[in-house]
Amino acid sequence: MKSEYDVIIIGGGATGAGVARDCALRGISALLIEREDIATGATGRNHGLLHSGARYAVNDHESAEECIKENMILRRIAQHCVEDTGGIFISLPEDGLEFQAKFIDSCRAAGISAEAIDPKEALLLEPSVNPSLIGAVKVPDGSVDPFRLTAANIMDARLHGAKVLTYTRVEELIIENGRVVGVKTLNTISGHRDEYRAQITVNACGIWGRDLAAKAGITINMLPAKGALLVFGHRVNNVVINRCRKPADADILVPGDSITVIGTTSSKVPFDQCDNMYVTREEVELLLREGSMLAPALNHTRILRAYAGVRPLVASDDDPSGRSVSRGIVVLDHATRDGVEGFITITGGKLMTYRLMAEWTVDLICKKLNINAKCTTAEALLPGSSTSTNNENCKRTAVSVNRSKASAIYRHGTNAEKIDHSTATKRALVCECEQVSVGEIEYAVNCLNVNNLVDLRRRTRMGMGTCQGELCACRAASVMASVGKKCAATAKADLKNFIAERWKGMAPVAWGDTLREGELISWLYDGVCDLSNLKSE
Amino acid sequence: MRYDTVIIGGGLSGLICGIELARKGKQAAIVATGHSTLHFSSGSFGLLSKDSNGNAIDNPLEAIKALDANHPYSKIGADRVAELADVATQCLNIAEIATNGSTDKNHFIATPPGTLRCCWRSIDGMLTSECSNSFDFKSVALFNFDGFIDFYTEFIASQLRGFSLEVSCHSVEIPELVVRRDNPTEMRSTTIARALDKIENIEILAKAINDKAGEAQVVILPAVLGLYRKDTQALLEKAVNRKVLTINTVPPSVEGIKMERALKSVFKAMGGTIFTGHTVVNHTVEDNTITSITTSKDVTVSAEHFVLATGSFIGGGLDSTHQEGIFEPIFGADIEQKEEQYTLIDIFEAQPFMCSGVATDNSFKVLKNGTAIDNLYACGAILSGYNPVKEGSGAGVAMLTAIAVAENILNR
Repeated sequence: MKSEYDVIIIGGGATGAGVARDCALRGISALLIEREDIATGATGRNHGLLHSGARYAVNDHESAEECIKENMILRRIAQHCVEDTGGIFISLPEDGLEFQAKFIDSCRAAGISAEAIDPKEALLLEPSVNPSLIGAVKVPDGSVDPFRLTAANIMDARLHGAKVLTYTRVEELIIENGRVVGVKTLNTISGHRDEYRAQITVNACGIWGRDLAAKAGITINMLPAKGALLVFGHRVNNVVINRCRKPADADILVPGDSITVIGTTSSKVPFDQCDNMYVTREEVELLLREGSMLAPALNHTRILRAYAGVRPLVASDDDPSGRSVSRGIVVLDHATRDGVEGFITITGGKLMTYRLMAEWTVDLICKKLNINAKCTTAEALLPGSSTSTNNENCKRTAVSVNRSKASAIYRHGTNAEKIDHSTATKRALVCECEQVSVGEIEYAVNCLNVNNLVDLRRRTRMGMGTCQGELCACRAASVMASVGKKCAATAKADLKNFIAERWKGMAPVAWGDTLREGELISWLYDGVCDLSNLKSE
Repeated sequence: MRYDTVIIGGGLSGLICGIELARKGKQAAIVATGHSTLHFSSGSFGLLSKDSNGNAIDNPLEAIKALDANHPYSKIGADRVAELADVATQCLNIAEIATNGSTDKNHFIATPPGTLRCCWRSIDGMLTSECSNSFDFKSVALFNFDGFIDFYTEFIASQLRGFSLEVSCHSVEIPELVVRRDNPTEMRSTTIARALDKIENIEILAKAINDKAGEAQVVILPAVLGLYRKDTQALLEKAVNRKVLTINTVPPSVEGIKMERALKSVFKAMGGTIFTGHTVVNHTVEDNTITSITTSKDVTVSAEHFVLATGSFIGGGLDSTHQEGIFEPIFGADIEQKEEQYTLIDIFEAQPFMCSGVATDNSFKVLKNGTAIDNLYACGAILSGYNPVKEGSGAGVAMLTAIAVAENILNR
């Protein structure tokens, strides 16, 4: 029996997107199905740290090695998603310097360059760092934009023939003779139901993978671990700041684009909360307290919003208590593990290792399908990345005459060429905080599979700056309506949704200027624009 | 420097209070940071527009009778609201801000996304209706300026078509603005309004309307018809030989800016003094009485009476920190409705912080540690006990409490 596809991948995070790309590059026909937009789960809810692996060096040599290798690969294949900020691990008086020696040795053993520098030099390198530091180690950390990275993988997968369905929920796995042979889906926008078949189905659903596996009668012992983070209103630091001690809560401060992120906490949460993550008061306090140990300026820096993601931790199969948790990559072949053919789960791991996770998964797929094709994802550049000397264009430039164009290049790399900035109208700025033009929005809507304003935000950063969408959301909604992607009524409902989503992240940190902004948003959208009276269809 | 009354805050409430005192012969001064929330004005004024279910209120005077005792209108006295509303209208008239509407019957004004929203008074020349779902004309031609993205033609057109209007959409290019648009942040409401202060640009606009509007009975434009000029709309109507109406844009609101200027100039014309760019940083107290205030520019002003009209959070009248929650930064006045959890996760629910504000007695004297400060009054958005957004009462409370405070001061 010929299947419609060779492989169906469920889950549009970095891992699923990576699997789809790897399949497509190896000539395996693939369909990716995502229940919401790409990068809506844990992929889009972390630091955006391009780990050097140093954080894992002491306790988890294997993860550290994986990280530094992938770090070097991403710098090459995803230039426009990565910023080479560099990182430091600082020791504070209460930490002592004991850990540092062991840390440097472990880093070097894992192939991570780690150079101890004088505290004074650390202060010159990163003036925002806590001046009471007693030691610092330089490592090759960086920052990575997970939305852009996922979008680039999706784009490449599609360029090579993969099909991608967003806003499509898998309602059922089709199981015939003990074999998963396909899925039954529901498009949550159109309400349309469909059926797709493939020889192999891949579960890349992160924490939601437990429920998917359960549809095949398979138990995966997962532990949802919530991690909360805070976004600060500007780039407090230019270099990633870590604490040189055993990994703990809120000890990484990452600059990214125009902001800085502190995180994370770690707490077990029940499965029924995974879809609605709210950051609590206690988490905000902890993040602020610990964060200001890294950079005291955080105490008086405006917090834009708070958010949280859920790590898909997997308990070892031979430990039913769930205490022995692996943070490493977990590939489960359910044929050998559970006697269910045609079904693979890829989970655990981290954003940094998404490509390697995809490689292992597709290696297994090839083995099962008897395909002899080598993985090329470590060499082939992602769309937007380039090898030309023009690369400097892709990097952030401090001052530029045409800022919106520079921002577009920064965000989309060589793909920025596809953005129409030929007329004043196309160049007009929709989002002034993040310099997003009408042209860039049209490009995102037409080429990057954008369904709504929240999707648009993930592709362009529109509404992610200091004003949190206060003025640009309305403009963007009307641009989307005029591009013809949406009728005016749905565009307005979408606008209401977007505003509600922005506030959700502001509410836990609403004091000072953020409360002021919240009041203004309320006045504008509930008052002047009267959106709360908008009857949903 | 000494005045009869010093008003802190130069927004709608502070200006109305100042005008009311000045026109009764008092020496009044306004100390203002210079950022008035009038720049966010919708072009309309709400007395009480919505009930607790979000439905439009037909007769605000009736609905006001049912408000809580702590509501600013209840402190004024529901029976006095109509009278003070007339005084507020007089103040607008004196400032030559032409508005329409009646106090016992609300009407509707078009919002930037094109819906109709209930209000008490609205600036003349804006698109309004007596009822929530129809107009007394049948066809409109909707015009926007090429490249202006703060006016949502698509939204407005679809909404108006829903009211059974025949709508055509058009774009106008004003050559002067083409140059301005090379800077991508320049194409904002005020830039266009400034261009339309020039007669030659009004003529270009009129010609474009005549060329494109066809048989449409009414022409609708964004509310950017001149920043200084008052007769743009009249000139246009004459040139295109039909009714020309406007719909507000998102901020900056040209109507709000014009309103602020008109109120300031009438206050000054009556002998009032405005200190612009001053933030109050210090004050002196004797016997439960404020004797003077000192500003960020090191100016000390003393007065018989002080009025706190510094607004809510946006205006800076209220502030908050992580540790202390909500507070009033100048006098440390008592805060009412200071919930520990003052935000709700759904922005479109009634947010508790919206009702927070300084505590006052029934004459709007500010309370500190439970005692009324003898010569310090509060008016406008800094007051507690009402939700301006959910009630659609922001402008009404701002103006009526300002007048009530002025009367209380004059009656002493």
